Amino acid sequence: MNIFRKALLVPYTFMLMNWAVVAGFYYFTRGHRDFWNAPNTRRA
Amino acid sequence: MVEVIFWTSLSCIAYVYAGYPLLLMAWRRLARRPVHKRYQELSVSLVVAMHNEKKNVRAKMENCFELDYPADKLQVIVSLDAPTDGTDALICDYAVRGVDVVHSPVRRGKAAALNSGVAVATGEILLFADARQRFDKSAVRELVANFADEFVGSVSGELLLLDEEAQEASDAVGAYWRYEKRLRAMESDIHSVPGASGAIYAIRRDSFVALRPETILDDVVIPMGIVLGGKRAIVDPAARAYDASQDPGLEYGRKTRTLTGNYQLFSQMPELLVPWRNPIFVQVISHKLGRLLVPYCLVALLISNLFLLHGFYFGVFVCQILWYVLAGAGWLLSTRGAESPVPQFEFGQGEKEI
Repeated sequence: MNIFRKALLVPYTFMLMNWAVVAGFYYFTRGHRDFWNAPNTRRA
Repeated sequence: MVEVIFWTSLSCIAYVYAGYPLLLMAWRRLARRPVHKRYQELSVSLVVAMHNEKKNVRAKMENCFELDYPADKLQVIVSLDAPTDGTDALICDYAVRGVDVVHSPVRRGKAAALNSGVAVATGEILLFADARQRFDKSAVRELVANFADEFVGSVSGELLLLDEEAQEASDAVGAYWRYEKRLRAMESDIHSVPGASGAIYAIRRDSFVALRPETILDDVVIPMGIVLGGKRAIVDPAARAYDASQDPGLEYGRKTRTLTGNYQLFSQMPELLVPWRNPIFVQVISHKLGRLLVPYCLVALLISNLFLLHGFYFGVFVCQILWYVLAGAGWLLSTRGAESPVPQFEFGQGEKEI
């Protein structure tokens, strides 16, 4: 990877990771955890 | 007032990404706590939760059989969480080779799948892993050796992100990950890391407390419970797992899930924010909570800077604009030739963090 490409991808990755914080807060406040259903387990 | 917002935001960002690492460096120099490793062969239960892992299941199982650890001391448990892609059919081949399979026909999520897997575990040590990453042959032996130290309750291995040439990735995600690992190594040397790598971490069997089914980050909740209980959660770089480096867009999806889990972590375990209850309060505040504040500080810094366009402040403003222009160019670069640069985040489908 050349220096030029890295110089662009580092700030992009940094901003993306920070945007993930905001998105994470959105998902958390929207309660996106409701796919967890009642347990029903059997041993194979 | 604007200057207060500017300096507070700048200080917060600088502390999280530069001040805290410097603090850790000094702290480690003054108060390093070595781990007394001793190689031993405790019985181990390796628990892997899987949903749709058809493409990974064979490689993962073969990797488990190749580990340098006595077969009679290593129980492999696969906890299936309602797979729909044929993972359950593939795993049957391994059930006859001694792999214990727990199957849930109803989708319950990773935490519940881990609980089911642990329920059938017989080992003194529980080792958790994800389906995609591969263990180094000596990884189990290295992890187990740390439990000779009575103060150690949780041991995380080191996850290496490899590029196409099987070298440690040097791209932006690889650099970000190496920065993270340096922080964790220092935190581990001082006391404990606030979390583990979901791809490879082990705990004592008697330390396990069943996870709440809605738990997103088992690899943070379990080690932090152990730390609150008075033991250490360390990292051992000698215990290695390998994964392919992701492009920033895929890393974004994984990171979003992790950060959602961090919000949940503080709501589930508010004692983490109580200094006299949490032995690694400073680390949790600086590493976990600080990261949650940084994006809002970035916004506050930019807006407050708009009202302070003179002298030093103008220089900072130019640097900020340049940074965002580079980030935008990086986004364009990463999207070149890709249909969807930032995939939509599907909850519960991502790999776990670290």
